[in-house]
Amino acid sequence: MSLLKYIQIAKNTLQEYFTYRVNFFFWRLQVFFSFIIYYSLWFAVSSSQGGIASYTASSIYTYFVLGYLVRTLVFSTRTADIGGDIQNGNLSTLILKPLSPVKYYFARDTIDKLFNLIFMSFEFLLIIFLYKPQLIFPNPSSLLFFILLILFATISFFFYSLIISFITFWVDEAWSTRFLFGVVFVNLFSGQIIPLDLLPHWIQNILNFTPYPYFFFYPIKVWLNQLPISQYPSLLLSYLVLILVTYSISSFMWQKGKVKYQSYGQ
Amino acid sequence: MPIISVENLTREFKVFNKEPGLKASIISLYRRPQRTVTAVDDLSFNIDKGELVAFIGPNGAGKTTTLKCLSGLLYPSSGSINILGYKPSDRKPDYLSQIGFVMGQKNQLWWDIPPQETFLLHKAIYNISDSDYKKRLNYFVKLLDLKDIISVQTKKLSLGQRMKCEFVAALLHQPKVLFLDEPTIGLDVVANLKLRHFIKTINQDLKTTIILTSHNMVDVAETCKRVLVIDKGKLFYDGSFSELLKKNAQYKFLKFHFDSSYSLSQFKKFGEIVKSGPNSITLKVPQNKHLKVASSILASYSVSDLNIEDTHLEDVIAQIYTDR
Amino acid sequence: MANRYQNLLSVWIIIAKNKIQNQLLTPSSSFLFIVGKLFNYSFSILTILAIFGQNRNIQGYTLPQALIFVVFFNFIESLIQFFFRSLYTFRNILIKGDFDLDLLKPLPSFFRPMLSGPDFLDLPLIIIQLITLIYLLAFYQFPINASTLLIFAITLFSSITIAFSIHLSIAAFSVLTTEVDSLVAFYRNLGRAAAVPTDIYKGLLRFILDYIVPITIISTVPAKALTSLLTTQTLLFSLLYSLLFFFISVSFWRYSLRHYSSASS
Repeated sequence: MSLLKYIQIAKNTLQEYFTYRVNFFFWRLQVFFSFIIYYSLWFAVSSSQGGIASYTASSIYTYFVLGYLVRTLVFSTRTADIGGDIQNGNLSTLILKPLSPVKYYFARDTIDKLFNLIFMSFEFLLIIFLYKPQLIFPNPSSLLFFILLILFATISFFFYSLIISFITFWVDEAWSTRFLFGVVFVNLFSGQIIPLDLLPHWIQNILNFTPYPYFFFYPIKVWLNQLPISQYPSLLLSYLVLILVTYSISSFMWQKGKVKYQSYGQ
Repeated sequence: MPIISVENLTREFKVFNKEPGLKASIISLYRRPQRTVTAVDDLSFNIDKGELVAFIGPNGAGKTTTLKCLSGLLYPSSGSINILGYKPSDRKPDYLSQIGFVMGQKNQLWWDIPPQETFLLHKAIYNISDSDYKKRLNYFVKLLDLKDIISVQTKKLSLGQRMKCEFVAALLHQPKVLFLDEPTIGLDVVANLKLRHFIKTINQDLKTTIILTSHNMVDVAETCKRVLVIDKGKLFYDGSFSELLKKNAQYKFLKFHFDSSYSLSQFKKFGEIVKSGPNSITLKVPQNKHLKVASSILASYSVSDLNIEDTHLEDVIAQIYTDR
Repeated sequence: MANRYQNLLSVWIIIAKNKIQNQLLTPSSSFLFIVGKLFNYSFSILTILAIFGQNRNIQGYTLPQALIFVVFFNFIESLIQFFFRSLYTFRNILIKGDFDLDLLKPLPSFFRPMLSGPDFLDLPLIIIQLITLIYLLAFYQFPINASTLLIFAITLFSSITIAFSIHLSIAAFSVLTTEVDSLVAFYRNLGRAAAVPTDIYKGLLRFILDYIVPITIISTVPAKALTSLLTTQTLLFSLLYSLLFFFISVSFWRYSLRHYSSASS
């Protein structure tokens, strides 16, 4: 019975996409061009040398082509709306209904990812057709582990994004925090611009204590067969810790924030 | 030599028809049926310097479109407009420096900064000298009681306060012609009154030629001697407002309070019963007969109170509109 | 005539003063934005350093050259955003109908959409980027003399002219369709391609970057002037093309205003 609500929410979100289809089209166009630019850049960089540092040309191409998929799966989210909902009081309409706002946002996210995935698959075919990149494919154990990590990355990013949005309960100007922690840090430190192991070691070491590489970089490394199976358990542990930490913090912030929000009677 | 002269002004719009539904949306991608709407139809009139004129008419009559053509926002489809010797649609800087515009629903005050800062912007835009600026600002601040308001961010002001500042912004450069499009819409009675008084004052003191559109008949009656009645884009009347009322206000309303109750039917012969209560009745009587009716009823019934009222302004105008 | 330009400058200064005041009202927020931009900037330099690593030469470019290109790219991006950021909020003004009132002022019609919102959060970065640029030019001993500077000035002029024209065209599009945000975002995205010399791109992408949305003239050409890689041909072409582009965008803007029918009450 309660699942029905969330299915309806999903349906409504889908309707929204049809209404704002021009915006959505331009958004996909942007994402697509963004890929083209990064790919062309890295193609130019590695084609002349047959690769770069520890990466062969094919592993670089695979890194970015696969990255396109991973980005859509992990990072498409509607949780960025939450800040706005808190500030303009829309959250009230959610709290007053017999549904969990967090589950509501999760439902919206699922649709967001699904929708983006559908379009991404068309763009993917276009990319394969245009560039005919030499791709590296994972062996079976890598593939399985990759799928698992993607799942964990998606879940932990969802909680991470909630944390950033919930800051709006206490701070008025939430856009700056989202810009810094939700856009800049996520873009730069997750490995979307440059594979993290091309950066100096000391930077990589620091980043391993942040959540970012786990959203994007590690799953791709696994796919590229570049992570020995012996390291799987410790990596798995890191992900579980990440999920636990982000879940706890977001949960805590939600409980406290809800109280504060309602006490102001927005 | 009139300051504003309009000849055969016509303005047409193309309007696209779209049916609701998904199928229609797809069809509309390659074929969109359209029709032409004539918003302003062959208008001609002249306005002299220092006049205070109102355009009145029902919704969608073409008043705002006419005003926009006069100010230069819209190009006429045909016909000519000459204001201060310029063609408004050219929007020459010299022309724009001599006109002012206040639109009831829109802001020329910048949202995030106090009105004071917008005034300074205007000072720079219109090249107003320091002494003129100070003199005029003081004049307006005193006239409209704005001392505490002008340094508050515009977005924090009430509608009434904002409108007052909008007027100042439009008048700082002492324009020769001022266009007002529904300037008092949404304002409360007191603010309305103040603004009305303000408009009359600047027309008298500064000799600004003012053209305004309004739905509020009391505003129009209190401020303008001359009105142009526009309906469906055509000009139906151009002349004195009081003459217009006299010609069309043909009824009086007689409200009687009685000591005892009487049955309604016996009053039907005197006039149209528009309202009745336990001991009261309101009769609508033709103007030339109202005194006779009043004295007949006073003589035959026990009347405790009598009120004689003119036709409400709104009703007169509504009548004029529906008669077209 | 000179009076008119003086007026525009005083108008811009009043707007700028108010903008600074508003941004100082939220210091922590402003600080976070600046930190974010700083991270983006530093990371782009780090990326170039990492890519070159042990290689002395990639696609014909040396590390010093690549650094100049990436720093200049950041600099010109910040500069352009500093001046033209008000385009991002133009849509609101259009929808509310306030643009009508702007058109009735003796102010250039593009002033409000384009120049009414200088973003002072870009200023600290512009300064840092300029200093970095000068430092790098000195450190790597790039030959800079009077003629280099003159050529650079000409390319900078073409660069800003193109940037202005692109923004004006977007403004014209939005007057016709109110679709600003997507177009601006698309342009910004495309602009990132110039973090490296646009020569490395090929095919349709290259064509777009060179001629349709001339990011090449905005970023790559002036950087080439600084690193003495600019041919006379490219210099002349950029200048002439930027002027052509300018005239086209101005005509487009005028066209959009002519067809602008403000919504009636």
